[in-house]
Amino acid sequence: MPKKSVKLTLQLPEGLAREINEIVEKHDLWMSSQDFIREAIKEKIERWHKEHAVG
Amino acid sequence: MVVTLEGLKKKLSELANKDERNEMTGEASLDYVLEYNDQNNPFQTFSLNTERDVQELIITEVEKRIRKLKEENAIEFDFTKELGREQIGVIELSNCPERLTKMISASNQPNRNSFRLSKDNKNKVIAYITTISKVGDNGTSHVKIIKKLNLASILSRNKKKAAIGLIEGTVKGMSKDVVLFSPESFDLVVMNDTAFVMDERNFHFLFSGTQYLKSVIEGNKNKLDSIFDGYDNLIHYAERNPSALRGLYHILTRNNGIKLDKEKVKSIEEKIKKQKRSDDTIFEYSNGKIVCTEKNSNYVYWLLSKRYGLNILDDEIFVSGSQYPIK
Repeated sequence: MPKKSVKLTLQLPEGLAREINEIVEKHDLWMSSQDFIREAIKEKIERWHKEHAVG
Repeated sequence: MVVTLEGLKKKLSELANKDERNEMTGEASLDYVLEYNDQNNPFQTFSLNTERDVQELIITEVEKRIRKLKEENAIEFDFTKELGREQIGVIELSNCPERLTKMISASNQPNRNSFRLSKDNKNKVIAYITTISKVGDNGTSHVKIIKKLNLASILSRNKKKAAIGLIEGTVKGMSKDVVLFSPESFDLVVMNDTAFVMDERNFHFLFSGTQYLKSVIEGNKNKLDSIFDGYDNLIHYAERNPSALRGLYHILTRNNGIKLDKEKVKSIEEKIKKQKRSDDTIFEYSNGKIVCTEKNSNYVYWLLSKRYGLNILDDEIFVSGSQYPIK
């Protein structure tokens, strides 16, 4: 399936950006802040698909 | 007006940080690439029209995610302790750290066998073959442990099955649990307290036992020699998985002030050069450059700089076929 991509410059509340950084730094579970965000979005979409599943 | 060096430095530093932090609005800028396809298109799914919409969605979801992590206490979860229990039972996958969860169930499908690693209460490395027994309505997965394996004892009992590059006996200077293991779909190397799992594309680190490697990298030459002897013995493993070996080789031999036996390095290099080049390799190291696919570039950067604390320079990582560094 062809992938599309959009480059964005996110303006995050500073506290939130700091919190993401701290989690990423501390826990080593995500490659980067971007990775953390990507996962959050993916989860949201998956949740949506699950909630709107047909059949 | 007197301009001091300190003042100038401070000013330059402020200018350098200007793009990232805006003190007036209390916002931080972050470059982000949203990747999607028709199946996971957030623009279609959530009827987003503008970048601002996307941004709001991201902020909401990230906040939700952080809240959820805190509620579940997932980021503090002691995985080893949980799996150290003797009984075979069902544990809540939702409590596992994300990264491990991903490894366990790439697609979160029921009845998909997978495995995880832990240590038992005697500190022996144990592999658990698991299956996702069910996925709850709320997305919670349950993992049923269907088999518990003591890797070291399996290998000593059944060396023929572990056909690839099994180390015979104890390698000089390395502990007895240095084993290579080849289950059906994964290759696994357990080295002291560090376990690497290699699938077809990447190698992953399962244990947080990087202390050993770290001490090696930080310059304990005796340990380095012994580990290097170990990898000398592992060299034929590269025929099967060159990327993993190159990765380990790179990690172990990167400068960091450590002087290696030149002859030994040369022989390893020659052996590695003979390995087939594969597009699947996570990265290669040649002529002072780290070369990888575009897809893997972030991972490689993260792996080397963050996981191993190596001082990777911006212009050292190149995408295959390109003469320009990624950064």
